Amino acid sequence: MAVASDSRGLDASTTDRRPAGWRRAAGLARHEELSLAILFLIVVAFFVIVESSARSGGTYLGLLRDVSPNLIAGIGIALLLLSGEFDLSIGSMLAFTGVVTVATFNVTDNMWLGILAGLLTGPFIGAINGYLVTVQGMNSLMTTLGTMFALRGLVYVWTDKTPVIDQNGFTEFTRLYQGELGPVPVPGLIALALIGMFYVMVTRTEFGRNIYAIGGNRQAARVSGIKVQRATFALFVLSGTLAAVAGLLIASQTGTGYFDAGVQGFELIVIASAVLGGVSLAGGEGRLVSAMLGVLILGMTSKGLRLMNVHTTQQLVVTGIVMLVAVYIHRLRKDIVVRSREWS
Amino acid sequence: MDDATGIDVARTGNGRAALVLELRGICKVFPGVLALDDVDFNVRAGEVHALLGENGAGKSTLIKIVAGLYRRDGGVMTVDDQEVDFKSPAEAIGRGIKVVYQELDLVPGLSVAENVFLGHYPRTPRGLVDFAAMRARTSDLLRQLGLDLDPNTQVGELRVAEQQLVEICRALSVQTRLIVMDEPTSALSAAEVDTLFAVVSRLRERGVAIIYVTHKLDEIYRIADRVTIFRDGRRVVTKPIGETTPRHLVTWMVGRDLQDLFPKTPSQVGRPLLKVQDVNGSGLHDLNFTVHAGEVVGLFGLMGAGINTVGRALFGAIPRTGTVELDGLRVRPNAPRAAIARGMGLLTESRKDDGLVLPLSVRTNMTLAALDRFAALSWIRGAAESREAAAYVRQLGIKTPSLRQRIRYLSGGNQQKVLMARWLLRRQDLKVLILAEPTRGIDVGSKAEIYRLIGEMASRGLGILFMSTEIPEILGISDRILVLREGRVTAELVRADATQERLVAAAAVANAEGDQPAAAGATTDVVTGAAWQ
Repeated sequence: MAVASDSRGLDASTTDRRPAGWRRAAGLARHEELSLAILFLIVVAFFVIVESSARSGGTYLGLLRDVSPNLIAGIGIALLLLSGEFDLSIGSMLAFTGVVTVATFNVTDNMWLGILAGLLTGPFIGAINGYLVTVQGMNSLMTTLGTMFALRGLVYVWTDKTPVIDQNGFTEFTRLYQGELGPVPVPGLIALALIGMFYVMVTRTEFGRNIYAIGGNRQAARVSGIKVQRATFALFVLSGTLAAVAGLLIASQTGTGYFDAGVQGFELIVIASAVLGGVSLAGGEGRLVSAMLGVLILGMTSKGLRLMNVHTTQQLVVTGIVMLVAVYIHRLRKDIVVRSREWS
Repeated sequence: MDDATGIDVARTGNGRAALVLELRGICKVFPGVLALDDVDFNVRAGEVHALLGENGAGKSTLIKIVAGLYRRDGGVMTVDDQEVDFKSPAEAIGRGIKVVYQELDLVPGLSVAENVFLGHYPRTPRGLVDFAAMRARTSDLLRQLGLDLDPNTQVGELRVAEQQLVEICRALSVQTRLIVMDEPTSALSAAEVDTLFAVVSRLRERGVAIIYVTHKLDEIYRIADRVTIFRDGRRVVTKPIGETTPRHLVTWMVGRDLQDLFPKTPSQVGRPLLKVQDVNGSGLHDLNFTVHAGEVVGLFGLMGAGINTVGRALFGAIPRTGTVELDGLRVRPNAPRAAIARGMGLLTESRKDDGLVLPLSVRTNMTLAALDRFAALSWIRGAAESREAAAYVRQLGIKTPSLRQRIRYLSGGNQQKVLMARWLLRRQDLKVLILAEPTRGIDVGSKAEIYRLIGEMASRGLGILFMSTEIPEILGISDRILVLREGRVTAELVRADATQERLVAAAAVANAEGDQPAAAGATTDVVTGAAWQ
């Protein structure tokens, strides 16, 4: 129940009897990006202390490369979550895009055609998801769960569970992931450019504003004249396309279309990252930059564990626990914010 | 305090029944707001104590302290003469305090009996739930309250009013000394209110203490023994109900004398703007009417008559047939966007369901329908947007600490003004504004301001279609009144001919279910009923 309180213009300093430290904590917690950045630095500091190889700058450029597929796919996921929808098919998209790309290489012997075909899988699958959700009114969680299984199965049937190897050995293609521009890895640059572009879109354009309105109250958005269905459809296409870009990067890592790419819960990790960054699962609340910080926090954790030579199976356990801790901290933060803001 | 003794006045005729709850010097501070400032309050066994005040006066805060949802920052609270300090709602319930909130906390998928005994199901000797005993005891409770409900009915199938009574039953299934009712009648029809009040009377006879929070003054005169009025976190007055008049109550609530609630100026009626011809569908039948520039057309009907459906249908939010013309151009059905483009605006009756986007800011909510005005090729010019929004905050007197404040933290009246600004921002092309129950659930002071705004908009040449179930405001601000019954227009009255009796006669269901005299169907608000005639 909303507390109906006209702010009667009382000066906060005259009535706020809480200790100054508490107020400062509230101020800090309110600043979402800052508190997430601090959380990220804490994770970094931990690994710097316990693992000497975490002290070189190259580690962090490597981190940027490692998480670039998550960042890119995470943009689409964050936007969909903001509008109140889900996309679980992005993990299978990685494999599908990779296989389509490399298979096209092998058929046409043309790298650009392959990349184009790979990229087009995104809007294609996204449009299918979007059509089913907006026109047919199906629930997005179930719809994309369906496309997730169907796509993965399709890839298995098609490849017979063998990696599709690039017979032409296009080195330029592998540079997409492995290359560098100055010291910065190319995939990191692609991710940063996309983040910048979509940040502007979310914060400065009508479409961006409409995403929040749709996620916050679909009916109110419709009654205000916003084209709810069209925007939602566009977001599914966008999410698919960004997942295809991520899939291209992963394929270019080894020049292989790998049938099991993203099979270890890629879609869930990306969703978890966004939520960790404060994006509400109910829609309408959250920020893109925060979601990206969420990706970095989880990415740094697994990177650090790898540096410490923790076995992959054990890594899974630690990553899970770190995720729980992070979500718990996030909940604490939200508590402080709500308590300090509810009546001010 | 202009009244030092009121708090000690016991209910006359009940002797000096024991105090069930007593609060002395209660303070509650939120960052930036002193929500309760040294407040005294008490309620006796078998007494109905009405709690009155505008939004933000501190009523909700007080209730939440009593319910154990908030902890007080100062003062003493006693229950049955024992000092208490509730750390959770469970502790309050343990001391026999039950709060019936506006948003009911029932489980829709369970039966009446299961809801009544939720959390303390009777057990058989084997430890299983004793459904037979549960049903029997629920029937018993329902009978005691004089209610005709089947304990096996699923709660989700009941009307809101019946659900509320189930909540009260639930309170009685444990030892309850005090029931707090938070605006219990806001969603009830007149007949349902009568049932509720009958139940309240029975509770009183059983010695249950009742705190009754409301906006509606007529209700207070029907059931309360004493009234306490809050304003700005302070107790203004506590008096036996017999020593007050409605006018005094309003003055105490608002803090000033509200002489002119309906500052209606006769406006210049211009060309026809909204032409409705043979509109059918969604429960509406053969609607034909016209709204002219500068005219306020009131659409009156009882709850369930379909007045709000009219707005949605015209606006294209729900299906309809027939012709709707706006300033000579036809409006496509089923497309709010097309209606907006033609110059129509709709303020829906349910702020929370399809008005507000709760997680977003005041500014974002306000500019939602007019973003294209600030956007060049979709790029929003933030400075222009903020400037316009700030101008409306000033012009409409919206109380908010900043444009960035989330709208969820504004009072109902201020939220409503933001939603009005949403359409006013489209003033270049806005021609007709449809307002569905714009004053629902907001306090008297804000109501007066909204009436003033409606008058102003009309005098600037907008056509206004104003829907309400409250006779005084319909009579107060309309140039012309249409009465709707079961989706049909049953009367059209010009301002000079409109009287309460005529409206009720046209609105009342011809063949009432037998128990309900027709004239009792309308909600009258004594603010206007008694004091402003």
